[in-house]
Amino acid sequence: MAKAKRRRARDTWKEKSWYTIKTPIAFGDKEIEDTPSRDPDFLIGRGVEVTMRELTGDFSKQYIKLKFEVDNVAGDIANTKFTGHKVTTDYVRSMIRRGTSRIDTHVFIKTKDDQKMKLHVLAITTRRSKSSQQKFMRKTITELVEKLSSERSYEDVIETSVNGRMASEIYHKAKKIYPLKRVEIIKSKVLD
Amino acid sequence: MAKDEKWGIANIYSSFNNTIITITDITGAETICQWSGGRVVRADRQEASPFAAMEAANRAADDAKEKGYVGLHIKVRAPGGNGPRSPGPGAQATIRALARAGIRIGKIEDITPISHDGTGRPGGKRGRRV
Repeated sequence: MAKAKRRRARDTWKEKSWYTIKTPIAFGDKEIEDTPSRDPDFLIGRGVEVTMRELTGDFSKQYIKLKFEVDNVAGDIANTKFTGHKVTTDYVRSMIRRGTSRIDTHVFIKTKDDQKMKLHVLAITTRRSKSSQQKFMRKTITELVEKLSSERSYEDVIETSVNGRMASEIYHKAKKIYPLKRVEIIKSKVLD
Repeated sequence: MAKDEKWGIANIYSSFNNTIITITDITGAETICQWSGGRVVRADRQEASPFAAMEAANRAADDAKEKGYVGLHIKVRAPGGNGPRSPGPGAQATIRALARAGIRIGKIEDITPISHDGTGRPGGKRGRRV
């Protein structure tokens, strides 16, 4: 029984052909990895997670994971689109200490060219803050992110939110409300 | 990366009752092989043991190598949710065994699902009374 099952599995494996997954042009059009598939139609919708380190070779950006989804297939090359990014949980956990407050804000934004996205901003204070201060902080961050992203194009928003430039802009504005230790955009999602 | 050097993902689910290793391609959509502690030992109580995990990992490594995979990224997972959030005894043994079987190890990541809210843990207010 087990043997028969195994043989059948091996047969389908040989039928499968290999497709190379490539990153979008905005991320350098690089080859990520190969994936086997029986039919090119099955490829569409498959997701890959790549760390920033693999794309840029920058060791300090190891904690950022980018998500790509296969969009279309041309020959044996599967082209992808960007669907969001995420910071690893261990990195977020290492930032949070006792005696500090964690302020989470999620913002629905619209870029200059009418692309909807969702950004998740995490701010960490140096000391424990009152909830009224947190509330005010959340409000200002929301307004700031909306303003910043409405001035930028879709590619610009992705780039600045992934490489931390937008986070530092938020940091410099928001630290006037309460002293902040860090600001990071820990998650982003592209909405259709 | 060159075509003859394929990398995949080893998804390791490690609870206190079992260790399940699923090796997939980089997208996670195509499974290459699946092994668990329960497939290599007889007794139920040994399913989660490091020995069972080691055996399962060795066989999984053989299967993966046969299909041309030289390296694996590792995603470790504990039950999560309202269960325990730290991986069981088999997780560490699995990674060790995979490395010793001659497979290159890429990034190791903890992907335990952690609920932001979710249902309460079983046991009630006064805890589990045994």
